[in-house]
Amino acid sequence: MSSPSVESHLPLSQAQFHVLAALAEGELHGYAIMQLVEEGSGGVVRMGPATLYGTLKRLVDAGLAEESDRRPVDDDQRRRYYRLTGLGQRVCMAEADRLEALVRRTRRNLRPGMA
Amino acid sequence: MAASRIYRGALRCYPASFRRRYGDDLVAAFEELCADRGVRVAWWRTVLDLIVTVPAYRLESIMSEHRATLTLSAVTVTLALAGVATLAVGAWPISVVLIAVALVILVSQRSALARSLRPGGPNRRRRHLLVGAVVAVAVFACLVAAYLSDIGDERVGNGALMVYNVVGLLSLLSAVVLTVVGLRTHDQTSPATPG
Repeated sequence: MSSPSVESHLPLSQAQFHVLAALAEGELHGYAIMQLVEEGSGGVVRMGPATLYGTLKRLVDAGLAEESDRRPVDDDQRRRYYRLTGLGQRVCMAEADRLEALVRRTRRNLRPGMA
Repeated sequence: MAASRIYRGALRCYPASFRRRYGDDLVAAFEELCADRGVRVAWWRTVLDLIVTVPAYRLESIMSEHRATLTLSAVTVTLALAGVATLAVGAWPISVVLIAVALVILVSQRSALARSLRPGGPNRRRRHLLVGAVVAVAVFACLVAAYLSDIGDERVGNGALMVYNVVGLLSLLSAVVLTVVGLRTHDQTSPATPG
């Protein structure tokens, strides 16, 4: 059962869910998120830079993601890294559960014998 | 790199606040995209991105920034005053349209402000639909009042009657549809019904 503050963020837009799912893999910079989103969607979702940073802005403003202070020593120090907040993790999980239930129900309805 | 200079120039299309916060990151991501996929692929993806995001972020900025809020307030007051002025000289159809537009801007602006101050509740969609229905009923009521006042007046032409009919029909239909959809939207504060 999700808390009301988690519920109020649902449903996430496709871009928001993809970015949160990418950040679930760890702290990432912008371009790495773009790459992971493309890989994770099998090449179907290809974000441009402004879509990515617009989405990140919304997630940061909503408290679902935050800038991280840590970055690899050998990396460009101007690069900004992002990570999920505790609320972001709960919202991402709740959205995954919601989509999973929807997928299960759709499969059951379309292929009744194979549920 | 010429491509990144051009892209940095194109970023001027975005609202200043977005540019200030993410301008360097956007250019860095674009340069990495160019290095990784080639300039042609990077431009293809980025031009589509610009086409989709510039109007969206501009609109978002207009609805949220303080300066834009003041401008919208000034526009709303001007429209309302113009509506009252045209009402005074007897141009009912024009005044109804002006007041209706002012009302719609006012409600949209207040809603945007309320959204920015308050976390969204579970019944947000239901509430928006019902507020929309109330606005549509208010517009319809204004029209009926104007129509009743004008009926029998020989100076009122066919064009004005056409405006009454079209706007009245649309507002009435909107009120009915928004009310029905709003009431049918599940109230998430009430206990769930079994089954």
